[in-house]
Amino acid sequence: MNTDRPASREQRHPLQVHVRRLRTDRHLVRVVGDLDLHTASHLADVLQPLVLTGGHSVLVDLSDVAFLDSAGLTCLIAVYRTARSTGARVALIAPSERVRRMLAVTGTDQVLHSYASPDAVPD
Amino acid sequence: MVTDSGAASLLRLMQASHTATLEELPGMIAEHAAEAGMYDVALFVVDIRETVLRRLTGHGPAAGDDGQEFTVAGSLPGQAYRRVELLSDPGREGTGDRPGGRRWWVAVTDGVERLGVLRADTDTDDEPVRRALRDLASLTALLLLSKRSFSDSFARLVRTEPMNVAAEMQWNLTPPPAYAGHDVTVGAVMEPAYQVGGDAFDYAVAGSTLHLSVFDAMGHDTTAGITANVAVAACRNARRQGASLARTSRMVERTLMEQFGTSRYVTGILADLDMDSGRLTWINRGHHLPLLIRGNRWTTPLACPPAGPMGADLGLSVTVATEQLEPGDRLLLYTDGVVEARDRYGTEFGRDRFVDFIRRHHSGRHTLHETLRRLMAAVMEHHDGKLDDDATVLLAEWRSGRQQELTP
Repeated sequence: MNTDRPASREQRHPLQVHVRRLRTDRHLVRVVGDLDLHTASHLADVLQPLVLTGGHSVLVDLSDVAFLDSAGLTCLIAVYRTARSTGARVALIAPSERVRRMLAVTGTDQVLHSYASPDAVPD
Repeated sequence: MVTDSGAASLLRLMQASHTATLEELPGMIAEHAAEAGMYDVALFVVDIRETVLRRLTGHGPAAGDDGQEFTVAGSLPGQAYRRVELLSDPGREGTGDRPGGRRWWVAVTDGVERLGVLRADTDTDDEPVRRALRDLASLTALLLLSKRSFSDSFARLVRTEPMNVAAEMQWNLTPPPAYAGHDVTVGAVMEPAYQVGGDAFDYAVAGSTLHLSVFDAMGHDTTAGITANVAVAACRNARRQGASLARTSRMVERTLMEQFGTSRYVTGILADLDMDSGRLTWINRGHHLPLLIRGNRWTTPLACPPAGPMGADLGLSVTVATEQLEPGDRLLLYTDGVVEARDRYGTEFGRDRFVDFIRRHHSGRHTLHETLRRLMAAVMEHHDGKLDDDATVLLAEWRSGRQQELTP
């Protein structure tokens, strides 16, 4: 599975991660850039502490992530597993077509549900 | 001239070869062939990417010193290889001290895998001569196969570029890239041949069951290669203990988690084909869906909900899907590098082009294995000769009635 950037993508998009608290038990994490071998660990560092509390929800906004490779997927799966063990919840917001395709092919979409917007995520 | 002693000569050659090294084969084969009326015999082997035919001279570190080389794509020896044929060299008819004589090129194959070509001169051209040449090429294939697995010289001769450690592992992990038997033909190709990371394929026969699988380990480093090796070994281990496909995939998952926690995972398709009935049983561990090509009429992805990559521990249930094949059906298992290979403008090779290529080239003119060789050359060319990702194709054909094409 690819962890290299396609040759045609000459521009690198360094990852930015913005965390906003929506309410006491809900965080919105907005991810901007490419989620790949070079950046996935950065996102994991931000997300992992947020899913340590049972009952909390972490909404990961992927609308500005154009590219996600297997390392990026590994990061999301690892966060899901932590959340599963602590009783926290992870949801994805507005993943791109390409990201959705990767989630669907691997079956990850069955455990990490996607929603159009933060407001669409049920309690 | 070729005599009835041909068969006896081949038997003596076979017996003499048991204690010979790979380096001794060309001389030994030429000597025995000359006794049977086939002169100046030379043996050429194909590189792992099937682009050149290199003469096995038996000299030097690669057993190929001072040897001639031909391209597979644009030479007469290459034509004999591509078409799996016995060809007479039109430029060498009755020349020199052999008026009426012939120079021949014949594909060297064990009936499945093409290993190279053999060159020989004879005084005449008749059916016994042609039969003797085919027999010699056939035995030569078996002799090569019996020596190559422990020959570094052979490994050097069939490489045109330096190889990385992961690729070194992968080529020793996978079965030969071609199989035919029980009315099923299988072919496989894997690129980039010298830098492969986490791709692997496997197949195996037990009675009337043909197991087929393809794996894609995350990453493109040596650890990806190690991950793929662990996955294939765990799959074989479970299978050989009689485990079902679903249980086999769960044992692969467990083994991967024991080794790597959940930091590494492998997607894959595991399938069993009943070669008597054509019934296909398979499971999907988070991989691209297999494609079924029926005649030249239609192509469809087979459906089965993904149970998550092996090693990712998503906790999803494993669904077993079944499909009844029809005679002539072709089943394609592949990894994303094939369809996602991009040209310099960012255009993907794409699934449609992939399937169309297989259908067009495998419609009668080329064997299944030649079709795959051409496919990979096209994918590589699309990508300016260098792939970002591993690309693997495993193609199986059931009851096509075309297996006679696989020998010259």
